[in-house]
Amino acid sequence: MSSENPNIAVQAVLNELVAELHAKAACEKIGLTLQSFADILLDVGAKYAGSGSPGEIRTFFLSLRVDELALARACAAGIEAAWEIFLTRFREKLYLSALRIAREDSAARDLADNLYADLYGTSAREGKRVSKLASYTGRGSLEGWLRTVLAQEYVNRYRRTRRLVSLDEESEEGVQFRAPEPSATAAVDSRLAQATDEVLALLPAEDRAVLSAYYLDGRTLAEIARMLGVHESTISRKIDKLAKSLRKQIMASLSRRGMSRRQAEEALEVDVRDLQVDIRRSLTQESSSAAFSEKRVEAPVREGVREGEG
Amino acid sequence: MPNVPKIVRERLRVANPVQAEHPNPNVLTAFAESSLSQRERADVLEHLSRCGECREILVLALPASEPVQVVTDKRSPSWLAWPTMRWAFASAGVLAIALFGFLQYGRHNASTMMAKKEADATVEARNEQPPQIGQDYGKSTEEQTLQSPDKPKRKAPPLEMDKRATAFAPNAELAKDFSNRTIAGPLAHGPRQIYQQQQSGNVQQVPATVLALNAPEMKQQASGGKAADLRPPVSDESVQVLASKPDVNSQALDSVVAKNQVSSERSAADSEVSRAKSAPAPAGPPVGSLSNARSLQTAAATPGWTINAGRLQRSFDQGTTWQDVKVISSPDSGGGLELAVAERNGLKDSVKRNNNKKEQSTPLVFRAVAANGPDVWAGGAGAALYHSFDAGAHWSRVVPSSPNGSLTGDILKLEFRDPQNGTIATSTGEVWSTRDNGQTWQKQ
Repeated sequence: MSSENPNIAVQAVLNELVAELHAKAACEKIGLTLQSFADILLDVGAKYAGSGSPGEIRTFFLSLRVDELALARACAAGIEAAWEIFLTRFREKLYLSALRIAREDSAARDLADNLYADLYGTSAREGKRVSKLASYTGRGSLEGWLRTVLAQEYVNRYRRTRRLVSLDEESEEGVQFRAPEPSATAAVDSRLAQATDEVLALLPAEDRAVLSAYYLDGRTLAEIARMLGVHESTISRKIDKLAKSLRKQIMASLSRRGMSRRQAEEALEVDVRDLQVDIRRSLTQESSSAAFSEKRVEAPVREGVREGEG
Repeated sequence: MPNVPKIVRERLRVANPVQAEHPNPNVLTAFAESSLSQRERADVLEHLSRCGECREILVLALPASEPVQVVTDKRSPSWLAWPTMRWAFASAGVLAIALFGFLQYGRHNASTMMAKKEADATVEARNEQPPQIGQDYGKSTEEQTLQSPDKPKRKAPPLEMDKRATAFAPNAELAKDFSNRTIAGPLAHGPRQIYQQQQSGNVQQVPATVLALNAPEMKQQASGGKAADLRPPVSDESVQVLASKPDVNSQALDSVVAKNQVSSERSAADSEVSRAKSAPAPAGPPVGSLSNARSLQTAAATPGWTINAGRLQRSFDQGTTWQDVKVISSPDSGGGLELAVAERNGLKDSVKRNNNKKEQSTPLVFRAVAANGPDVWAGGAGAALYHSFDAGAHWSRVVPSSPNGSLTGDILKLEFRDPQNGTIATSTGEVWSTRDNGQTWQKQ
């Protein structure tokens, strides 16, 4: 097994830390033994920090939220005391988070209840309950993890239901929406696409993520900022700067591909119009990102335009 | 926010298939809480840049309570953030520069513009004076102009008269002003005997030249009427009033006050005082008693000068109407100069001397004009350079010369910083300068 060596390294570090972490996690209260907790930590460490140096592994372990990890794993193991604590702390929050994500009471209840079932482990395998909490690794807060799981569940469910609906939608409006798309793509000069790809590929991943979130997903600056954990004005400046430099760089790239400046300008100018239509279309066709009704999609776009004017 | 070209959106969407599997909720949560290592964070960012689904999950999973707080917290300090502050800095800078410029301009005014503006105010009076004298006094303008005093004599008397004028102080200020005006009037062009009479103490016989000084006031009251129309109201009666000592003939003085609005009287009178003082030494330091307010008041009467198609033109109403000024000088320019103001409508006949016909036959083509109050320089083709001490009423030709020769070519540029210091640039590339109001010239 290739993971044996890393496991040894992790084990070595863990041996020094496990007692400290066990005490920190207050495992005694929820009835988690030192040995079982050490196994959990070894598992987590091997998964995420196996290739690191001893120092990195140590840092990794110390950064884990071991108390929440212990609680979650105790719940997963079916320890009733742990469940009580979990429900006291998270039941209400779970529902509120679901409501925020689904934005509708019945859907939120549905979402939350389904997650409860998963967390509790209704599905049994080999006679043992399999709880979703067993997959929590303490890398982030348990509350954050719960929200993420809810969101993931919501997105997946929306996508499933959308697939069912989409056949009807396509029969009604899909033709008129989809027909222009291939021709539009084909009409784009291949040099322009190449040049754009080249420029985008040179951007840092974060910049591309910001651009996609802003221009594709129609996210607000505040949302992007919170998503990346930075200040809103940082995102504002970044987008401003990127939009300007992108144009220049694509122009330069096009001229390297033998386009005259005028041609390049025209190629770029052709399509700045119809921003709303474009984004809506791209979102409705991009199944993964079309998680909202059309109304919801328009709102951030308009906000983006307004900010652009201001 | 600026738009990116559509192709950018297109390629962001199309050309980024998600390669790796989605980060699990643990990693996404840790990413959102900024607790991933650099390497892991970079991996997640790379995935996020390609995966709209994970971006969506991330946004949906954002903590609920924060948004309102975060937004408000972050927006309020943004007023002090750099993007806002840089405009504040820029506008502050512009403001500072404007203020500096304004102060500098004011200082410049104080040193150079003062004497200029004060003297300007008398221009109008002078222009109307000659006919006035002719009318009231029975003298022809020709006689007067022929009798114009030459410069040295012109300079001496006003100082004395000024002192005497202040001696009249027991009466009203107005009295003083009138006295001063009697002195100031003849400065540029009045007949010499006026000075003689005044110097001999015979103040009551001060001639009616004073009367002419009423003209600007009258004109101000009549607001825009032609100068010629304004003259008749000034009667012989008022001549006597003005000519006589205020304390002797105070009744008459009152009648004058009644006729003229005190305010306009005062402002014009002030300008006369200033001219009386500044005329003897035009480039001297500004008279201390003169305030800027006076300068501003008198500025209204300052004639504007321009060159239009080679003709020298003058305006007394801030450029609303312009009248041609014919520049004629006698060959013996040191002595009698002559005025010929020809208004465009031709109502007023210019007084011409025979020996000037030659010049009229070949009209002068002017290229440049420079004025410091009544002190006007005009230059043009064929080394023509004319100088007027009295706002264009009289002209004398000046030929700048130095031991190495005299000015040649067309005069293209005239600059007089003040009545004393000026430079001339010619089409032949010569630059001449004077530091004594054109008495001597240096070629540079």
